[in-house]
Amino acid sequence: MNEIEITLPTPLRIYTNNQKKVKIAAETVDDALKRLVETYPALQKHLFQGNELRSYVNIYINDTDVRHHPDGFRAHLEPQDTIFIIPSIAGGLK
Amino acid sequence: MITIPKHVLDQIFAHGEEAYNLECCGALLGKNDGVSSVVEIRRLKNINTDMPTRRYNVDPFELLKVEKDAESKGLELIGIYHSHPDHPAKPSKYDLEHAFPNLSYMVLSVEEGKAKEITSWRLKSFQNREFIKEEIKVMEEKQ
Repeated sequence: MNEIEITLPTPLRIYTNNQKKVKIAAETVDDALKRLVETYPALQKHLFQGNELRSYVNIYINDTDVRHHPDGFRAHLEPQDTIFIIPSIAGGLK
Repeated sequence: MITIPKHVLDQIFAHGEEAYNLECCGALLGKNDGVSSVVEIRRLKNINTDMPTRRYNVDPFELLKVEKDAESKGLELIGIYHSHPDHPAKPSKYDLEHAFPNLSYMVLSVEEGKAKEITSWRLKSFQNREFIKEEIKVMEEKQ
């Protein structure tokens, strides 16, 4: 099983002992995210609503939005791959 | 408290004035060693096309690129700034609803095209969704 790197956004690092990057052994994106929340359970509710990824959470495999990847969350990961978790930033007037 | 060099603060003001009457937004890049210190900013495109005078949305891929670039310089994303055209420098309910903890949110008021006031806020936590105002300490620079 490949060990890949996951980069956490600033707001979620408090749930990974302030680590910006964590190493997870996983074959697919889905697998990586499941193992991530198994290792850091407090992340679960911030990444998922039920079994679905929260709408404000974006997952990239290197430079590719997983939602645009042909295999989606079943995309196979190579050892050099990095998963980036990027929050949706928004705001503005009332 | 968050510190910011005077010339960087001026860049935020200039961005708000150039974007007027649209909302501008950008990334605050710096360090967080107990005190948040802005080192530089990066302008971000407001991708909101429905109400760009009243809303901003950041392209997550652009944010990803900015974060990678910041990391290469030993910096990290420590906050976001945005403008409120012809409205006070206070976060709105919408700002609060979309905020994340552990980031500083600077809000710049721009009145009739002129940047007036900037404030900075931090969300208490995911569970306790309340903004706490933080002091902005402007670091004057020697010529």
